[in-house]
Amino acid sequence: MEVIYDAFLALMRLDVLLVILLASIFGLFVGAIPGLTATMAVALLVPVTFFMDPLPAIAAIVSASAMAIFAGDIPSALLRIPGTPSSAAYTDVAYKLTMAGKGELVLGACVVTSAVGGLFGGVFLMFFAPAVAKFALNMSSYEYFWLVCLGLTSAAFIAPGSAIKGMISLFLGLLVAMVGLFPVTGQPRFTFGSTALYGGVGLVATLIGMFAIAEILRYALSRDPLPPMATNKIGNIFKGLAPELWRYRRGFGSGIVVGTVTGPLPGAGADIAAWISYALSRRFSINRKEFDKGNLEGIVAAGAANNASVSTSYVPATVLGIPGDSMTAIVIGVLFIKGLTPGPAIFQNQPTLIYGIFLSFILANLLMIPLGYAAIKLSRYILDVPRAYLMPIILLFCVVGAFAMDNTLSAVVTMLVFGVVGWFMEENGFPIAPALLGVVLGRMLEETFLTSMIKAQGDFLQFFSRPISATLGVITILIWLSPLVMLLLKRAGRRRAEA
Amino acid sequence: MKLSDILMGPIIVGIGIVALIAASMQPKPFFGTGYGGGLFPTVVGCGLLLAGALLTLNGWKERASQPLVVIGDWIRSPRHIANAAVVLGALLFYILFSKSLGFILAGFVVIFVTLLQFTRAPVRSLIVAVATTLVVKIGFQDVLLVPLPWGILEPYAGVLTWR
Repeated sequence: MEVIYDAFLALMRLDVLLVILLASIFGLFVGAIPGLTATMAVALLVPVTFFMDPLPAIAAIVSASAMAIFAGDIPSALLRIPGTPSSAAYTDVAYKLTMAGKGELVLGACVVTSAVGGLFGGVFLMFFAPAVAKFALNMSSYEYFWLVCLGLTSAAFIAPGSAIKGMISLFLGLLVAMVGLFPVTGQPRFTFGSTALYGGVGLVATLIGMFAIAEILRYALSRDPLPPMATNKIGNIFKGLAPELWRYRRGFGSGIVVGTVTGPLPGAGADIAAWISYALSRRFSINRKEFDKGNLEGIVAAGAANNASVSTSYVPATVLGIPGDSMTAIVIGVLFIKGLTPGPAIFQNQPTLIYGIFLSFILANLLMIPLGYAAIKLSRYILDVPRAYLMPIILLFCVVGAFAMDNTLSAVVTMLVFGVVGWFMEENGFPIAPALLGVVLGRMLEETFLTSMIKAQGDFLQFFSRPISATLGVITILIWLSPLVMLLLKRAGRRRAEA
Repeated sequence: MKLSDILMGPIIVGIGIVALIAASMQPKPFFGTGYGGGLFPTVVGCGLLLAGALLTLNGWKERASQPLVVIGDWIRSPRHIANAAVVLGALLFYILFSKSLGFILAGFVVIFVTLLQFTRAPVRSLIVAVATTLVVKIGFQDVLLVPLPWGILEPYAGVLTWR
């Protein structure tokens, strides 16, 4: 408890609070503008956090991401365009209700369910993560190797689109991670004779390229202008909200649970939490007919789920150092840049920091109600900001942001290359998240494997000699084999149908 | 620009082969486990080879329904092609000339040219470009102390620094 008090004091410093406030406003703004995603908000924030202490740096990322995920709901309801992918599950319903004159109710429900979902997730994170950490302290490189494998494969398989493209995306990411000095012997690998690549491909420049430059290119080539707003007048968003939320309390509750559980799963981000929760609330709806006609139930469930999952996605990221989605992958990168190694030992080495991060979730989600209210009230002006002016401004920030990380021009080159690659991959239906996870985790995968092999003196069976490691290994291999099994089953089914 | 799987597959296979060749050029380990820097790239290369082959197979199966290349509407709009060209050109310009021109000039060119292309409003573009360049310069160079290049403005660095 004393640790939590210390962390609370660390978080309550004026400069930290100011950083959180500014990052929140930034997150709300970026999340609300269609075409600027929550991941982009975080990627653009990283170069600035580089100059901060670890706690305000991560707290800034936490608050910006939580706010951006909520703010994605605003253009969903008003323009029928999800501001971030995690609002896509209920965009149609939200817009339909707004057109029916219930815009206030929808936006009110979005802000309240987001905040409550995020809060629950934050509390869960605070009490669950230390337990996982205690367990994880007993894990050795064997277990870590399998966990990284499991995380990477799930990311590739769960990603939207075809599993093959997910795998290719992952492999390409891993290939990028191989660039740099080989950890065991220190010999340069895939550096093309350039000393700038000895330290590996710059993570932040890669991020900014994939999530910001690619987005700017997409904007440059897009031909559809934003549709007009569904309504210009937004009154009291909290009026009549409480009885509605009470009516859909079951969907609300299940949304929180689904989000909380989905968050820590590898490969499943806030968008997947929202889709699952939306589908579940339809399945178990109190009135399916009304649900399909369009009511708040799905919005309440999915709105709570995506924010809850943002909070709990920090469990594997902070405790094990294994991110489950692109956003926490960035957080891991930032922790490494700060010279902190995420992992179970962080609870012993940096307890104030880690609890400060967890508390910042609670603070950010409490802040969400007043700031979200303001953002909704100002949404007309936010959505009116012309993207034709915004995109070039972001472009300049990208250039300087990439440069600022290690003060070399090669970072700008990296950013440009990955911008084009990211754009091309997205155009061709390759999910980006597995590639990013590959870049972040590639080193860890290789190092845990080689360390284990050295310990086991080259005996591969040692990977299955410990109970947890064996279980994880078997699960991973089963996932690898699952497409093959599915294919065989399909074949057998077809043959039976023909016979 | 969407390539059909039948084109994309061989590209991925190609990347896989390059990875395998590059991996084979890694020095062989002579101590320890017998696993060297070539091991992981080999695994990844094989993975790419396999996945690329599967993708090609997919494309072959669906060759009747999948057009070889689908290009977005932008290909018929010179304005949109120019948009993308300006973004890429501006970045290249910065990479090539920021050292000699310095951030203030090169950064200004980057943002002004893209603004002008996107908005076609010269006066407003100029105002926004000057303001943004100034904010970034003061924020990153003067406050966060990022050593942005001075270039030809180096003699005036003292006058131009806000502190």
